[in-house]
Amino acid sequence: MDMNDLKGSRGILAVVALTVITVGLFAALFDLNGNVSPGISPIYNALAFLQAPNSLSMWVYDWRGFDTLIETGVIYVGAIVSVMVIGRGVVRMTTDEGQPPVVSPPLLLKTESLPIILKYFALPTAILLTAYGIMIVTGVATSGGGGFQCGVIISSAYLLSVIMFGKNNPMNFTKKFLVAIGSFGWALYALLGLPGFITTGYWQYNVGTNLWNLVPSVWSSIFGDPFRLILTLQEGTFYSSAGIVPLINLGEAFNVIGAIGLIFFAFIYGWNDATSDQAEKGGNKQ
Amino acid sequence: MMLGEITPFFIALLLGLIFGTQFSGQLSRRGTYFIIGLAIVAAFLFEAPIFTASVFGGYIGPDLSFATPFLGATFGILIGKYVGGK
Repeated sequence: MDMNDLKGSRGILAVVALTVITVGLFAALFDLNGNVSPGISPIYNALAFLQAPNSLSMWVYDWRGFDTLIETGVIYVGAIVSVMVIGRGVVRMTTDEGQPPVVSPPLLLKTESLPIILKYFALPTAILLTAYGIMIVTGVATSGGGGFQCGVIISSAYLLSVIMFGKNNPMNFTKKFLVAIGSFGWALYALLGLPGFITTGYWQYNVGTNLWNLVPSVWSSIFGDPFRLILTLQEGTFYSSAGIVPLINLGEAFNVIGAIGLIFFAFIYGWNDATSDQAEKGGNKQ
Repeated sequence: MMLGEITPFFIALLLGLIFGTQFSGQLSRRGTYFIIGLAIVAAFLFEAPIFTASVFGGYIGPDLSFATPFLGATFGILIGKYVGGK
């Protein structure tokens, strides 16, 4: 990407977004001091089921914000390290004009030579794997799944599809699509911190669940009611809502699909910054 | 019935539509029925999410329930593929 692209409105938006995230994150970290009790808190045990009726989901929810941030960071660090290790031969950079890139042979498989099982089952498998990934991300409140797992599963479906069919694979993810959903995921993740920050001062405070009764009930209704479940237990009947957590996980899923998909994409098709239609599918005119 | 029982279905349907538009390739009618059949079997095996107690959430009885998000995602992908697929 040319740095000149960041001039103008896009650059202003990027700076504003980074400033909002930085201020919110640091404000939350400074306020964290003194509010953390080491070990298993009895208050936590008393309240957690009101947010997630599943013990596995329950213990990761308390740290879901930081957990997701670090998971996503690991992916991007992995991508950068991979590119550094493998070098610029596979990932084509237009700025590297002094050294001709290594051109790998096009990844074209002949589907006629595929075993019959792969030929007929690869597309249904890719579709069902994608559906499975989507189911995982929708079940964050009631299972151990989440956005990261969803992203990895759908990216695996993409990789399977590419291995089976090569360049003309049925999961026709374009560079533009992957960049768009990755960016949307980041934006959704960042923006979902704002309601809590504006109303309480805590970044990503779960306004939908509102465990500490810090926000007006209208916020709980908007973000909490769509995910509210009724828990009928021996101890009585309770209402549980994951609040903004499913939405955060959606953002994370999009982000992970975009990131891992782009890694596969770059390794399979090569990469350059060309924006023409011919270069859309990986940027290599072969 | 609580909204939390049906919201995952609609989210899955929407996500399926989005990803379905990115699918290409020929899928015969027989292949489509095959995928729907497998999806129903898989939804039965996955079962409805816990604390789902209504038919709309996929719960029919103690031993008979379906993961509606999986069905929603599969139908979404198929619809998205036929409507916006390449």
